Amino acid sequence: MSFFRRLYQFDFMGHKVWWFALSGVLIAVSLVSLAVNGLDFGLEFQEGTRITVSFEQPPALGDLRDAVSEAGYANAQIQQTEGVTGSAIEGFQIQVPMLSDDQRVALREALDEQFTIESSDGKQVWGVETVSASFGRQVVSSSLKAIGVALLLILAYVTFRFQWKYAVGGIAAVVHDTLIVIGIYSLTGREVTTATIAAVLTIMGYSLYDNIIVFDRVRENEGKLGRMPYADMVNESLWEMLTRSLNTTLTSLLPVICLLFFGGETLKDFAFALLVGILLGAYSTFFVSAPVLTILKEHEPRYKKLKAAARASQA
Amino acid sequence: MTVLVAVSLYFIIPPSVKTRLGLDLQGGLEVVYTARTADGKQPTKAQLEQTVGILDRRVNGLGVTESQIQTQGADQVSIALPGVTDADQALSVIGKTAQLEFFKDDPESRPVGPVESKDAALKELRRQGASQAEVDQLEAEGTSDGYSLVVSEEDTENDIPEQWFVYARPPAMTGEAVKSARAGFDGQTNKPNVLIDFTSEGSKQFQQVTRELFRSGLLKQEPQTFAIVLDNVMESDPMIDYTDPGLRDGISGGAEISGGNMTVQESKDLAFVLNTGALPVKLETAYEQQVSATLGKDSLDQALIAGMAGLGLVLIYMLLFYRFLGLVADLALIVYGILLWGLFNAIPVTLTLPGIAGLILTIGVAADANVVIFERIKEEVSLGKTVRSAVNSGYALGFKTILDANVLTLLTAVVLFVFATAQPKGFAVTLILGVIVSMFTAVLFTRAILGVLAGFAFFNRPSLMGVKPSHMRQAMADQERTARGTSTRRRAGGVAEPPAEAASAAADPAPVTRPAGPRRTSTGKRKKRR
Repeated sequence: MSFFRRLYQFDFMGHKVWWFALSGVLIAVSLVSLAVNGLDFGLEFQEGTRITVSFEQPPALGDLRDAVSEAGYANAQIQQTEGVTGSAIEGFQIQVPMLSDDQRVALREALDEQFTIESSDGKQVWGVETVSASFGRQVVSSSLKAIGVALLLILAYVTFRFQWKYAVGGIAAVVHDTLIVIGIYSLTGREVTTATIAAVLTIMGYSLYDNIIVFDRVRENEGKLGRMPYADMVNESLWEMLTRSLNTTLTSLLPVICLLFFGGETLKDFAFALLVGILLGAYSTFFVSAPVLTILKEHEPRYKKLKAAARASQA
Repeated sequence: MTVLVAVSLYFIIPPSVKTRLGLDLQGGLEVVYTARTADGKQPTKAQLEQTVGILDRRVNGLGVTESQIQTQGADQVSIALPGVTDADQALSVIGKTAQLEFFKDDPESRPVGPVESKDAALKELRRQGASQAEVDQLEAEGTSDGYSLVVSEEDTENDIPEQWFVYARPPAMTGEAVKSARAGFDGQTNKPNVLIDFTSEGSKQFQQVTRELFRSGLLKQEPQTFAIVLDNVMESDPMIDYTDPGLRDGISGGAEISGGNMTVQESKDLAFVLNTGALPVKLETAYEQQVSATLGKDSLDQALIAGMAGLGLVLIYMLLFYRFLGLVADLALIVYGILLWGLFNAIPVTLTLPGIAGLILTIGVAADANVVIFERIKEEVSLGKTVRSAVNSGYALGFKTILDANVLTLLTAVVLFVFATAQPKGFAVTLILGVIVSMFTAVLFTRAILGVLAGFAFFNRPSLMGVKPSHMRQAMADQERTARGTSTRRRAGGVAEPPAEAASAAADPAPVTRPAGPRRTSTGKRKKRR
């Protein structure tokens, strides 16, 4: 309890140098990793065919690799997909260069002959995803466009509803969150899929959402506690919003954590990005956007005076 | 509200029938084609729409229900066939251009061939004086302004290897002459074939072509042939016998395509595509996804388990933390779920895997709408307001906050919807609907329930709101201190708690931004108490 009590009276703004340092380090690490490791782009961004299949008797990975290689695809990437408790399909994902219809049928027959593809209700467990190079390029460009447009709209809306200084604080948090999430993907070598792009956009939205809820309180207190130095007023607002922020973060995280544990491959990927994003979103509201807003606001003459007066009375 | 819930329930029950599942959940086939005209250019809008029409006929012929065919951008067509069982067969039928052409086999119509390779055919054409640009186009597209590159497939039975030809365009006849086609069997060899009936115009053309071939055969004392070509592949190469006087005036009936090793299925497919008409464009696969029914079912089960578990945990958490208000929030969440599901079925929205992920995420958003409002109400109660007036002002202030925040979530979701390709689109749709419905339930449902409850005497207890007396003292003291404007800069650890007496003495100190409601509502409460 005493930890919480302290948290509710913690001088968030007084330590902003530390938060900026921490965020700066995280962003720097992300950028370095991006430059060095790059990102592992999934099938949707490239060209190729990915086959999901499971067999009656799962063969050893090596045997399957030999069989696929024998069928003419020596460079195939083969992965074992995890079985999920309950309705377990333990299968494989095989990624090969783009296959034509005939080639695909041939590969299917070859694998069926050697290992017998599992079937239920007379239908084989067999999924295929094929992406051409032009489609991959299209996905990349539309994703980048989406992120750019989203940022611009956010900037415009927050400026319209609040003030540009709030917008700058909000965008700082969004860019912070997005960069670090991408950095984590780069560091851990996780595959970037279209689901990841959707997740990143959601993170942007969520991060903003969290910001706005707190900003709204700051704006309200600006009028009510107008005689306080800005930093103190922001602290006050953050304390008031602390319970709500912790609760919201938790209620948002609970379903996402369930997705991470129970969801299939696609959902897991999605849930991972969201998990990181929601945590970052909650963090950046308190430790990025509020401090940025405070710095911008403290340059206004009125708050400069209040700050100086507070200093004087303290000394 | 009750009506809405009832309507939603009507749309939900029975669930298995009414919710439209995407192909990643029920299995099926999704293809995105890039369309190109025969000579490799971007198609016109009219051509693209005509393509969609023909594809629609083909897909219907396959007996797939709930198929979706739509244009995407300037030159793409996307097709979703949920539940299709034989994806490979479907693909072989759907994407075929089915451009049927008849060429005469004389030296003018066929400048090159037969040769044994594509390169040899192209080289020979270049030697005969065709421009390099034309040859390049022919190599890339199979068709250029002046020529068509045609291959006849290897015939293992009669030991004839693959052969290549170049024909001069335009062909003697095209698929437009075909009225209908049907699969059958050759009377002599009993092999599968396809019989073509011509339109009246087509009949005349065909008769003229065969008559010309008969005459030139007679002239050269050598039987003449013509080629029936489908999508640059020679399907048949029938001969006109100049010694048969019955053919003097050409052939007036239909024609027959009898390729070397056509299977029964192939003959049926060919007749089918000829009947649905040729596409005005060539289709190249840009993206394709096949999901088997088992894989889809598995994904659906996993997503449902995750969703239910997530919802359950949130319900429990809200109840533990907010007690009575938590119960109201839980009811609101359940109503939210029912409304959203009903809406999905009513529109109907096709539920995909990313869509379910979006749905699960909106549980958090919906819960937050209540959290924000409840925190606000708790704050107001801590400041000494009656529960009833706290509900009113907490609502007004809390909702304003949620509105701004949700508009931003909506903005990003709409951007995602506009720019994203297939998969994230489903996610965006559920997110958009989820955010809207969550605001709707927050306004109508939670508000109504709290409003009704606030009228009862038992409800007017801060503890029901999860507010402890110590909280109240603290909050009132803080409020008083800040209102006086004496900034006590507090640091972590060094806490000076104001004396409790000061707190209890404080009247409601900051009425400026609040709706003036406390007194009126408290009298209202007294009335209920008699």
